Amino acid sequence: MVNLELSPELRRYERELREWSVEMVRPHARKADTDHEPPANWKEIIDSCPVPLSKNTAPAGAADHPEDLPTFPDGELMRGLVQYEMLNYGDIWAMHCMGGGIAHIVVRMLGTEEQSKRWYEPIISGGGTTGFALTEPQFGSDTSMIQTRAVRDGDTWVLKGQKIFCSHGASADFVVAFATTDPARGAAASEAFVVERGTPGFEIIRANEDKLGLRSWETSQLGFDDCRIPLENRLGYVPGADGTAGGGRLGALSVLNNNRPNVGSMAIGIAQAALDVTVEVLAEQRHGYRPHRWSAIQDDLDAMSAALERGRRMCRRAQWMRGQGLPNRLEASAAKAFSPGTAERVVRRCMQILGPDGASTDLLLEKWYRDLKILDIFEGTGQVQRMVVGKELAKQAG
Amino acid sequence: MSASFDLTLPDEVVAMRQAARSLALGRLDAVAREVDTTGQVPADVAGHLRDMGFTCVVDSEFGGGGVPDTHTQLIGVETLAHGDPSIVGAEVFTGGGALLLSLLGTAGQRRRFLPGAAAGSAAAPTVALYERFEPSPRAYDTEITRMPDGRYLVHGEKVAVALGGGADHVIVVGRDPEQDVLRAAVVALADIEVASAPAQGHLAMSSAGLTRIRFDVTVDADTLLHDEADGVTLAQAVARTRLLPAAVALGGATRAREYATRYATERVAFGRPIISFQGVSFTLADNHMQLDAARLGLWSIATALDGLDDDRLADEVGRTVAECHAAATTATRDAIQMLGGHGFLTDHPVELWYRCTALLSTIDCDPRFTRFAPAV
Repeated sequence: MVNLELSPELRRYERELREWSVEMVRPHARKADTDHEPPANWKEIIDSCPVPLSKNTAPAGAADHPEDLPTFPDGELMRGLVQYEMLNYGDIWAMHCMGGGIAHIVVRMLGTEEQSKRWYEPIISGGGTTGFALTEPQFGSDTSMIQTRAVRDGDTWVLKGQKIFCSHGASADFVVAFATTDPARGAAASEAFVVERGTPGFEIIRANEDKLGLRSWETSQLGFDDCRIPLENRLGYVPGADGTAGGGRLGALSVLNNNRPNVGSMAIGIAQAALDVTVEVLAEQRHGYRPHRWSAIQDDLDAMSAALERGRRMCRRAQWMRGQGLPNRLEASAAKAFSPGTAERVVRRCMQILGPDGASTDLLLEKWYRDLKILDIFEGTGQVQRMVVGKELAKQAG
Repeated sequence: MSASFDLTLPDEVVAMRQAARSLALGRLDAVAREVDTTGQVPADVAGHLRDMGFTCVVDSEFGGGGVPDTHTQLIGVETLAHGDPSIVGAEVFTGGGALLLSLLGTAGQRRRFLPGAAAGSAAAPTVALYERFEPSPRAYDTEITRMPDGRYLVHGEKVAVALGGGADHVIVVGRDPEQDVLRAAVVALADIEVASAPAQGHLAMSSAGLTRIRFDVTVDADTLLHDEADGVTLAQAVARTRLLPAAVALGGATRAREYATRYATERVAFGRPIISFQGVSFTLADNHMQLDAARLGLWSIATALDGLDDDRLADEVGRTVAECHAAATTATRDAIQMLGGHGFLTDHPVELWYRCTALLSTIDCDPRFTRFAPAV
């Protein structure tokens, strides 16, 4: 039977997470933005969460170890969406503390068993931070333009190039950097390399980029200046075998696209927070409006609430399909195309309704408006999502 | 011969626009980031802006450049905002009082305040125009009421009052409930309660010092501006004042559109400049058309200022301003989108324009004239 409601159990989880996020995460939002880093006691804050959370790194024995996560009739993917939305409902800084990056996960995806033992398992069992280095100044969406070069020199690879927007890049124990062994073939000749902190030639050009928003998230500009690493640092390396894994390693990252509905949920969480704050402020001010203006505002509040609910359903539908093993490329992209762009408009409209005080630092809406902008860009821009939707529709038509 | 549709700009306006563009791109652009960070406009930049005579209008009788007609001022302000809408927006807000005094000030008020404003030796009174709940001047909650002793009670609350320029007087615009007309009174800042936190910051326009003020003060009759002078009514002067931030938004957004277009012609993805993709070129085309249509609307209402009754005037200005801000906020967010991740970095100025147009759109927003719409 069709049902678009979450189970009562997951709704209870959602409620507890939301209340905690407002009480414990949000109070640090302004300072995290100003300081360009999460609060110093972020671990303590995250650990105070009354419900288990999934993290990219899960120290052994901790309550957030994957097998200790509660199970819901809705499935783990749906619980994940709830986590994304509710953490961001508090503030976006907490997301960056939910795990030490994704590079160790890429090691597990692209590496051999030996490499997983060396670079994945220690992070999972003991914690740590890993950085992901893919984007370069001259490309974002079109990974075929990769220019960071990897040249084989005896028993080593020599990397040369620059990377931008590297999450956790400056503080990582290691980064996974993508480079091409043949610039003429670009992404088709791409390989992934583990570069450990302190490797000669591995430079941190800018530890945390100066950004419109998302300032507490460390995104770094990294340089590889004839950075020499052992052969075994190429993911997929097999001792005794020469050469590369055959290139095209970027294609294997397509599974990361599964994150698109999660990004949609992040945006919805932020916009819902802005809408709820706005409603709260307006509740104290309603007497000030003449009826015809209040009526227009009420219509807008209702329209925004309905739009966020539509986005929420789209994200949930995409993850539900994935959980069912159904292809969801179209639905995941549609959710990502709809949600961040709509969330931006919600926050901007909330600021307009509240007047210039709504865009002041007395409230968090101006921060959320700045933070949100990236969500329509990273993990595939709104334009790229529309291209995907269009292609999928064409496939269906063909 | 009767007037007919004609968009030809006089030679002096064309020359003025060229000079404004030189200042915008030659100087304002260069200091935008510094002003955003410090909240201080360098003295030479403030001087150049004053000399241009668009952001702080002072009658030539008192050493200023004279009062340009509304179209010329809108074009001048918009062109300057190409350099940086935050700096120009802040100057428009802090210099707003000089325009009202030049148009409608009494002889005593003009003698007292305008020479210093023209010379840059003293700040002109700033303007307290915008209200939290009521965007239409015809229905302002602020009241300026004649008392039995002939003095006036000025009572109410205003938002977006620019105190960053150092003004020690505020021109409060309110409604006379008995006569059902607009009034404006010069009130000493010392008699006014600053209601918002002094350190309150905003998304942009850091040099404006936007503040919420509350007042309940009795003033002498000679603090009131004229209701009408030389054929200009207070309602028309207020309408003109409301149009200026919209022109600033259009200027900043047009620059953002130009910047994004240039980027899109140079940035290559999937083997060709990204502007060759319809998702990019159609978006930029839409931005251009929306901004252009909004600009024509702005010029149109400027032409009609003296032909509308006060109720119609207030609504038409509100609608025009809303259209300008809708076009500007869309164009600046799309400009960031065109630059992708680079647009999110402060290495490019687009994020400054994105913040500024969003802030400007909050100041004079009548919820009746624009509605929320989702992205898809």
